[in-house]
Amino acid sequence: MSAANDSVRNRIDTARGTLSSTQAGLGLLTVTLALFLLAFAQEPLVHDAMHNGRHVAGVVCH
Amino acid sequence: MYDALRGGAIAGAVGGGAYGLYVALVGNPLVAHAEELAHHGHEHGHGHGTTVVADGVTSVVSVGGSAALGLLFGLVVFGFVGYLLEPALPDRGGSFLLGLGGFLTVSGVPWLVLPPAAPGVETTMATEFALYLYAGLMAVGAVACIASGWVYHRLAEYGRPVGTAAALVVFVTAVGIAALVAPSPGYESGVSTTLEAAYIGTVVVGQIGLWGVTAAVHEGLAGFDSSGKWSHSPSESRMR
Repeated sequence: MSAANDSVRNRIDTARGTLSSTQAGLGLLTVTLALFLLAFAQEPLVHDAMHNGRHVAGVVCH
Repeated sequence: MYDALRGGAIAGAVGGGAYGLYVALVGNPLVAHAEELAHHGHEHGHGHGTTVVADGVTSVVSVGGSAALGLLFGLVVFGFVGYLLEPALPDRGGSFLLGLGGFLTVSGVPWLVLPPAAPGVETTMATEFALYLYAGLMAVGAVACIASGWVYHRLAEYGRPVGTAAALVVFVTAVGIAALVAPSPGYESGVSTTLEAAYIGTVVVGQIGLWGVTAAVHEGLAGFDSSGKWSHSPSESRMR
């Protein structure tokens, strides 16, 4: 934290260097998809299956 | 970077596991109970009596999904975001700050406009719109958390109280404006206020527990170096 070369900007650069844009894109897509499926999907089968979970998580569904 | 992701995933798996257990033992029975009462009270439009999926399946998927949610939070918030923000977080208690930010983003801020509603409570707002609103408020929460962190660091040189106060002001202002501007739904309650209170308590405890356990595990993991040996200075192993 004190070191000048360790900053949030540096970390973002490191992450850029470590992850290819394909990897980053795939990761983002997976996370979005998972969150969507778990909390926001309206498809009856998916929606009803996660019904209790969504209620317990405090996400309003109806 | 991968070390950070792994740590986040482990913390998330433990937190998600505990939370899944909570959903199984407390959440599922309570939702089932509330729904039973609601059905006796009045017929409600969503029609959970005629769901596509059997109750047993709902319970199992809800437990599994809740555990997966914990894993996801761990991986994203504690792993990825934690890695990026680590230089800006304090050596001790950084994981708890991340957990607080995660809780406020995912639950706390959206609840200001869309508080958790027990099954059987009807909102006057279209479901789809309410979900978009929820997602939007999550974004507001994330931005507010990051903005207050940024402000803290800009002003911390004048002393920690100044930085902390400024961070709080930024957070409250951002969230307050969003909460005032956002349309809020009316609730039409079909259940008793006691059940409603018990239900909201359960939800809040569950979310705080999820983030708390995950943060505690994550904080603990920071004390281990990669060979699995306990190093007494968490900050050193974090620095790598």
